[in-house]
Amino acid sequence: MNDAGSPHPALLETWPYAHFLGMRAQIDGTELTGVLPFSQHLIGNPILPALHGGVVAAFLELTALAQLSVRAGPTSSWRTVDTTVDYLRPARAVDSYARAEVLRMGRRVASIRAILWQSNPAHPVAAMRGNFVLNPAQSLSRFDGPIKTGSTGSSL
Amino acid sequence: MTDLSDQSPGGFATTPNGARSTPQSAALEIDIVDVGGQAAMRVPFRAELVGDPADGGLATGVITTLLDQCCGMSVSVYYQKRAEVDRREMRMGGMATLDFRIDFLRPARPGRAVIGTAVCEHVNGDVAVTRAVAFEDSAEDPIALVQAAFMISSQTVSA
Repeated sequence: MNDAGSPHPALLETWPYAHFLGMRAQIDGTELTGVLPFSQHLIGNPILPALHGGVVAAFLELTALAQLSVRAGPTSSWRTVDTTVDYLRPARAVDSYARAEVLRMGRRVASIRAILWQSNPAHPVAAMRGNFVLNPAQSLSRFDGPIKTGSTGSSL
Repeated sequence: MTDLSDQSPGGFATTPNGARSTPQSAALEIDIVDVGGQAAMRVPFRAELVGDPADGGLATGVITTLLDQCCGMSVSVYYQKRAEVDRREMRMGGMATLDFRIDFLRPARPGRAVIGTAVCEHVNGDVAVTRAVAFEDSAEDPIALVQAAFMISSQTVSA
């Protein structure tokens, strides 16, 4: 679980849906690789067969959230604002991997780019762009409230 | 609750967009619901599908999958309506999501099923453009909004 120096993204333990997908993560320093072992219940196109487009998007989103919690600290809690997924190739019935790049992490919002691949890292299967906010209770100024300037709260 | 095949005069009953025709939609227990002839589906609440336990509602990923499936169904509904208007049978071949944008306006409410509805706005050559919305009670109080494009292969069977 939480080895010192290797902060484990809590959401993979605590989010029931992460267990439903069967998602795991490998962590190297502050870099996280999401792992989605193939399972029959993830199939969305039985003819090809291929993973469901929603599963592909969800795995990319969870990888982004997990990467954020590794970067911002295991107690941070992020909420998805929006994601856009480009489907580049069919996601085959094999294990999938994803890595998320934090383009910018501000005090309230983070911009992420993530890639999913399967057998060959050079051949991306899907690409995601997304924005995420710190949960209101943790942000320095409420998302839906007046913006506080010169806040004395702790920074990330 | 209607089965997709009951509404289909053409070929789309065999496309992988019937509510439980795919292992993933069966695992989520997604069903087709009747919302004014639109493409509409419902995913029941189950504790194992919760996202952030602090929110307690269905995970964003579940809603994404529901709306992806709804958008696919909306293309089938579009083909069905086109076939009725044009008086010719149009068969849809395969369909694949090209891109999918979702905006989450708020978390899903704890313990509540979520309904998704979708409309195919246009089919241009091989590309279908769709919109979708997720909600518990009313589309006026949405959880999430989607805009998605699909690649399709279609053929006119008879003039």
